[in-house]
Amino acid sequence: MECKKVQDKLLTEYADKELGPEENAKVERHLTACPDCREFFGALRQSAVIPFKEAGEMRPESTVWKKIQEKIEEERARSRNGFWKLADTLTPFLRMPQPVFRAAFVTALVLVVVVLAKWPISYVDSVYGYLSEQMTFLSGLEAGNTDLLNGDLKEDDIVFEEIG
Amino acid sequence: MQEIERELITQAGRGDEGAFREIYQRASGYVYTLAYRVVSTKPDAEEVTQDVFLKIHRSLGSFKFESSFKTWLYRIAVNTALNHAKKRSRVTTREVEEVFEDPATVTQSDAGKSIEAGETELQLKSLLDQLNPDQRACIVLREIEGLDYRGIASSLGININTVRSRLKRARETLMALGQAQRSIEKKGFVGQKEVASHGM
Repeated sequence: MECKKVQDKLLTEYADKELGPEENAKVERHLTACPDCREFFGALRQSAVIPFKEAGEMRPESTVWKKIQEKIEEERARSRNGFWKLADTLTPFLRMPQPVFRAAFVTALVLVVVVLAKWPISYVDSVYGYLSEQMTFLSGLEAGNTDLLNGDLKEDDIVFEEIG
Repeated sequence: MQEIERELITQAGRGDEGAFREIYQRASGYVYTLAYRVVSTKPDAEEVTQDVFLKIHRSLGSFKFESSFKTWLYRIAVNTALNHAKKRSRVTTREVEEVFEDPATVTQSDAGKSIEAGETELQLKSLLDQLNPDQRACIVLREIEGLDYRGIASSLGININTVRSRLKRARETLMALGQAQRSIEKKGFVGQKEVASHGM
């Protein structure tokens, strides 16, 4: 086994006892024969393993519990108030990460397309009919055909002509 | 931390404030220490502890006992601490004076601990400060909490190869630091020897 490969194992699976028995025996054989890797492992234990063995437990200040109690009371009061209840329900949506917003937008877009595609044909026909009527009307006006104007508009035109 | 009895958890989940306080008293040291190792300052560790217990208070009622309470607790604690550390490192650089302020406060508040314990904390802190939050969380879960690779992976929601590579990079950094310290000490020793021989 090469020293580089052994040192890679020493830094990880060997130090953490995650190697299978066969692989473990291989590393140990190498360690017995190789002073450089033994020194490497000694330095690793001294710098990155042993210092953590003496770690103790600490206690938070008593103010932390007081703050927790205050927050719990605050949350209880909020849950009784309708406005805050609604705000609390909506807040997680507003905190969503950007990709989630994008996904939601694309989903909404697809939904709109699907809804429009499934729209009753009769409605689509009437929309199409209205649009083509308007097109004919506008192109007629452009060509100077005033017959297309309805009665009211024609009368207005006459009044304007008389004033003019 | 000792495992907390099912009965106490159920009572707290039903809204019994006394039971919740008992859980806090038994688990807050564990949560606070874990948070402190990851976020590295006392105010941040307190904030994380507060957030963790509020999350627990909100979801105790729906806790299904599919995993042990301790496993559930350290999952919440380590992820809350990690998110906090990442957010903090994006917002501001760490204040240098806290490196010296924190462990002293920790030892003063705990009457049973000696000055050596404070030194150990200082040493641990100076080591963990060399690592990024992801590496720190892996090292803490492995070296202090004693979790195996699978446990670390499931707690942090990452795969085992990522756990392995984070531990490897963390230990390489710590080894380099150790080597640098040893060579400084060696130089200091040689320097002292030279001064002593000139003095003669």
